[in-house]
Amino acid sequence: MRVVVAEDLFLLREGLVRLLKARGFEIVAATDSAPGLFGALLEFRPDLAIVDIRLPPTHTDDGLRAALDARQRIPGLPILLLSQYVEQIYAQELLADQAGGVGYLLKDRVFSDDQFVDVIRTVAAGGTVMDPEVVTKLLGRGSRGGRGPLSRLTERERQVLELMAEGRSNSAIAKRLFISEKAVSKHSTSIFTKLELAPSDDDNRRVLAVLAHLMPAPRESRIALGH
Amino acid sequence: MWPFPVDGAEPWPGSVLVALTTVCAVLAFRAEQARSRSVSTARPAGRIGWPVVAGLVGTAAYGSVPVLLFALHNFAGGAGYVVTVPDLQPDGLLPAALLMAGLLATTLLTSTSVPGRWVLPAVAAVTGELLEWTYWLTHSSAGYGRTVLNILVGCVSVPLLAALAGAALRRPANGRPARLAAAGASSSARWALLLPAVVVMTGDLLGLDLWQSASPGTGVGPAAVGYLVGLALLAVVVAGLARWPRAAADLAVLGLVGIGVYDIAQSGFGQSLVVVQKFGSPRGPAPLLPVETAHHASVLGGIQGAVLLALGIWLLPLTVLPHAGRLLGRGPDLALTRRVRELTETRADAVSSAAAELRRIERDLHDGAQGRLVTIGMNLRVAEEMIHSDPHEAAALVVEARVASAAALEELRGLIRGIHPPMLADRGLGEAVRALALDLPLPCETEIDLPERLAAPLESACYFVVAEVVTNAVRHASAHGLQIRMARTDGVLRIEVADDGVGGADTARGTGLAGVERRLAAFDGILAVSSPPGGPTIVAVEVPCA
Repeated sequence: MRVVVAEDLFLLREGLVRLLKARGFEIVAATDSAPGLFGALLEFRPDLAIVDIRLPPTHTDDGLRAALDARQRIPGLPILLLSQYVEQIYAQELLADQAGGVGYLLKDRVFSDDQFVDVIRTVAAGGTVMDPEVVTKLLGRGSRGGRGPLSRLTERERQVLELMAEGRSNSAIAKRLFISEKAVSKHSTSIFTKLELAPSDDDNRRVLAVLAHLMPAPRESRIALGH
Repeated sequence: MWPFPVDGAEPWPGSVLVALTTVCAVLAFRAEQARSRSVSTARPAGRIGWPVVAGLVGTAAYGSVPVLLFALHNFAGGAGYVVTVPDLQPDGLLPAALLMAGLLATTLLTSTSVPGRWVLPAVAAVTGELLEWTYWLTHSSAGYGRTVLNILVGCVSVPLLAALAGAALRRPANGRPARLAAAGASSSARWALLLPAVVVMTGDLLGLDLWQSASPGTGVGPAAVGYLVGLALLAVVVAGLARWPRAAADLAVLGLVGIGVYDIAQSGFGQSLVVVQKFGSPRGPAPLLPVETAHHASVLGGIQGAVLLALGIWLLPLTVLPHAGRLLGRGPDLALTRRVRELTETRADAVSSAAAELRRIERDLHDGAQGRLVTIGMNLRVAEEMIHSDPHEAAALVVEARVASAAALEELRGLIRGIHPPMLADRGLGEAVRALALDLPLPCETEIDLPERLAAPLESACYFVVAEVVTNAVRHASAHGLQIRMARTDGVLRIEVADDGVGGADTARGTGLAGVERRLAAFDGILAVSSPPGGPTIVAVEVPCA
């Protein structure tokens, strides 16, 4: 699998490259700036881009913007954002085109490399992976408000939804929660009914739908859940 | 003697003045007491009390001079009654009433709204006019004796006057005597209220007695025109002093000094006339004034002048002198002085809060991330030693180190958010506040209109202001929803945070909002809180950001 890495901290970039090479990925370019990333993406059209949000030249959200710009030129270009912090606004911009093939993780997650490699494969395959922290914030707001569709979910359904949003497959969820895969699909059907979403067999579409449902539309100020 | 009836003279105009003085003095005293209750250290007749008392005595003396003179000399000279000293006529009632009202208004109504301050002078002016008209109406006939109508007018005027003055003082403060402003709130501008009185007195000196009915013999047309011109002039003066209060105050005080000096000079001149008439002079024309009348007139005129001069001199350092000093380049500019004091205070606040913030960061780093890094280092060191002898134990230690490093990262993230949220650095205030709203456990609407980035320190301060207010709403207001509005117009950033909670927020209680106020003060920003018990709470912030 051909991967582009954009990270301005030398040690972290080298660490990522070494880790990915060890796992059999091909690193076609490793860059330390947003313009470099944009050029590499257009030139190599990789299977996945691993991008730090904060990059030179302005050291703000240059990485995110360069990746989104490239994604407009190359629809569906899989992008995995890495950052020291998670912001719902960035997640929402990443998910805006509803095309899938996106991920947003805290840099800490790189430490557990098995899981990290799973995430890379999921995103490259067009899946959607959100950091547990993003998911927690989304679900947290919905339930504590005491209103909206999320409050109708049972505790088990919430756990399933959380893992689904993190990009896990039905079998992974079943293993994690020590329940059968059949039970997981039963829960997910129930979740979709309660959230009033059309059921889907496609894991990825399913996650996207859930996230889109939870996220406020980009650039829109209303974030009240439910009605 | 006056104010008791003298032979054939009527006492009621004098009684009106006495009544007005008494009513005003009682109200002044009550207001003074109300003030001393709230500020326990102030004595009943403290800083404001004595000028009021002095002013009241002075104006009473001023107003009673013509009345007394009239009472003494009404029948003395028959057709020869001529008063050559200006200002010593019954129309002294009008300036007296205006002076008294102006003094009271400036000292008692300093904290009321502008319309409230005009009530008392207006009442006084109307009453003065009323007195004038009734006086001349009842004296137009040949007989100057006491009539039923005279007494009736007196009986009606006095309570009416008292009631109106009382209502004027009570109205602005909901049934209590007018609230007094803090000691520092007085400015030279309020003495501008003396200007109408000064204008009327100057008119008298110049012989332009527009504010009284014309003397017998004047046609109805000219009399009406003169009267209307006088009223219009008074209205122009009132409008002028509302527009340029400081200049009007200077003018009024200078006028008081001038009239005082003139009256004293006139008094000396009148005395010399008396001497001339008594002992005769081969050169000057023989004065028409009876000796006794001239003597009284000049002495009383002198007293009147001395009172006005004293009032003017007392007011000079409060009004004209500071302005003159500033114009001549000497003496401090009051506005600049105040600004320097503000800046000194807010700078001290900013410095001490920055120092406190640094201490907090140091403590957090020391107790958190630093400690964890030490643990990680130790674990790795032990693992290094055990890696061959006991690989399993070494692997466990490495896992432990990794967990500790994740925790350290988590703590650092929290710390960085508290110092300067990444979103603020990345996208500026508007997006950072939107992100803040998204992370809240409550539904929160945002309406943000900030097309351009602001200066970084201002962005940071405003962000933490919003964060503090929002945190308050979430923690204490039991709110179900929030609304944040933010817009920049005409170089001012306006922020409004509203919640539908229980209300009862107060800048005076708790440290949260007070801290917000201090934070804003460093940027000349202001904070307003509306939070009635039962809610809703609205916190509004305005910060200049040109």
